[in-house]
Amino acid sequence: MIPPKLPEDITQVITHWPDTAQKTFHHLRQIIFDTAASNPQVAPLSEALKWGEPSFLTKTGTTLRIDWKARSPDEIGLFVICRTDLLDQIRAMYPNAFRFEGTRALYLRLDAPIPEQAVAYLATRTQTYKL
Amino acid sequence: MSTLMPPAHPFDDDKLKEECGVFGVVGLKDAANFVALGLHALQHRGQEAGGIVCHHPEHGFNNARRFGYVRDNFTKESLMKTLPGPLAIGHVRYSTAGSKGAAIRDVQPFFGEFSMGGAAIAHNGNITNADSLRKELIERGSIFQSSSDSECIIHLMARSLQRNIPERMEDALRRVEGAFSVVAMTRTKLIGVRDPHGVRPLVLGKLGEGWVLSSETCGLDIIGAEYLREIKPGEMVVITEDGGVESSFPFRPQPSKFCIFEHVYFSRPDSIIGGQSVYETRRQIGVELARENPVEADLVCAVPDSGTPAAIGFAHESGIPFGMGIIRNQYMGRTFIEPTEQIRNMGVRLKLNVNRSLIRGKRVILVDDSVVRGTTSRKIKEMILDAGAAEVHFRIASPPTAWPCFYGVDTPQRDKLLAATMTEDEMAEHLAVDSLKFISLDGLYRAVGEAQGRDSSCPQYCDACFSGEYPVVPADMMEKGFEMKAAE
Repeated sequence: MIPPKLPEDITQVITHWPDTAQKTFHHLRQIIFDTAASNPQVAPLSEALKWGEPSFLTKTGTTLRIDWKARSPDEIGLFVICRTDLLDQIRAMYPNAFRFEGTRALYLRLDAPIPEQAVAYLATRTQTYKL
Repeated sequence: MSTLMPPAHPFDDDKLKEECGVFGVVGLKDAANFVALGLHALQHRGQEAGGIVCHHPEHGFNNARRFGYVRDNFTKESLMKTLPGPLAIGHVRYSTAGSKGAAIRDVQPFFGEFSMGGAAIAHNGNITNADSLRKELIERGSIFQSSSDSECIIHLMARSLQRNIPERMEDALRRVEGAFSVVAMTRTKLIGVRDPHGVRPLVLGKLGEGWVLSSETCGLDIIGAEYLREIKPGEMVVITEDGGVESSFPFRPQPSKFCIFEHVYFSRPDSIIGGQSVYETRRQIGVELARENPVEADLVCAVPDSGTPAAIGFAHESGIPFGMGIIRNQYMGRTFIEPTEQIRNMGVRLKLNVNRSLIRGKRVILVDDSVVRGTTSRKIKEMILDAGAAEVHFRIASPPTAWPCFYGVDTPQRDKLLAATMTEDEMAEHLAVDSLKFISLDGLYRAVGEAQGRDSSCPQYCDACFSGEYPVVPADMMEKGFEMKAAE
């Protein structure tokens, strides 16, 4: 599917990211929207800034955030709410796809291919977390 | 160019071999009996071993796995009595020598005990990232019991943190690349899943109050089940005895890539694929073949049995009479006899014989479904000439098989495929026939119902064995040095 137009406030945020991070963000966003579109159980997906980070929200799930941080310039992060067991679920199935940090962060290197299956799995689990 | 042929096993008919057939039943008393019949109908998909797992509310899970034909094992009352219950799945397997077929531990279905209960799986297809998955799982503590790629699914299910077996299976199959048509069961559920490309077949049927999953519709016919529909590419169905069928599509959608060779050879001619009779498709392949590659001759003969429908179509379109010039001994299948040198030298004569009185003095068109290594084709040609034929013209109902299949078919290495190393003219010279022609890829697509032929930008089928265009990257094989076709 073609994702909706990126909200202006998110555009303003990612404009300050390096080109590789912006490109990776758009690729991840495509996977996230594709995943939601392929599952009729998932409620409509919306985008907003949460804690200043581009975020994907749906009533059937829990928020997934994406951010690039200058202190770790070679990676892009995907963040979930730390009270969930989502990272355990992802780690169980895709132990080598991400660099895991605590109970809330998964990092991808910007110079490596995106593990599409693993990202789609993360998207599915966040989008259906309340089902 | 050398014309020496490698010595062939007399029971090796130089065909590509489908590696598995799967079958499952829920909601019928003594379901394993129905599974045995279903597997018997699917025996062409795998002749070397078979297995059944069943569940009974009081007796729990039971299983039996045996080498050999279904009819030689799963017809014994003493064995079938040990497989009670209203829910059962089964598997037939073809394998070659060595680690692929040597051990009973490799025979499916595989069973695993999980915290929420047991589950068994039967898999048709091939997991193209199985080596890397196995390595990763072993490093994380999994203890494999077999050398089968399919066992990865059970271990991935064990890793999943989901709450029930279908969800765990969903998790596991997300990590799997390649082709899979899986029939699985828990204590109460029958599960069917096809990979997102839908490379291998799987159909749903109904018999009385029971539900049936089968690789092909011929498996439904034998037990009198009604054919309902195909399981769609990427679909998972979870069936309970009283709850009916729940359908979901858990994987990222992909373009459909059903194996076109199922139409040509693998499936039984009495099966229905995509709403089309396999027999009728094969007959139409013969029609297209005759249109593309006419030749003056007196008689059209099939290389039995798989070439027969195409030969009938060829004869009909060309107006040349069809005759049974080659007779197949139906009782000389793949056996467990290790032949002596003397028997080995008899070669294909053990399996095929020429109808001399029909052939003598005639210009013969021989229609076969495929040429793999060319070993059998050449011997058949010699038999026809020995019988007094004036000319031999080979017409092949598939394009040249120039690439190995990595999605559940046993194929020789690429350098053993005749079409990988020779042009059509060179193959004709090598086989020493008067002419050799293959159906074109477009002609094959037209025969399977694609009026405009093959869409080269996004082929409607998996035709990798002919085109070298693999819909799923064969990761393990590339790790071992396999080189994909360079982009044109």
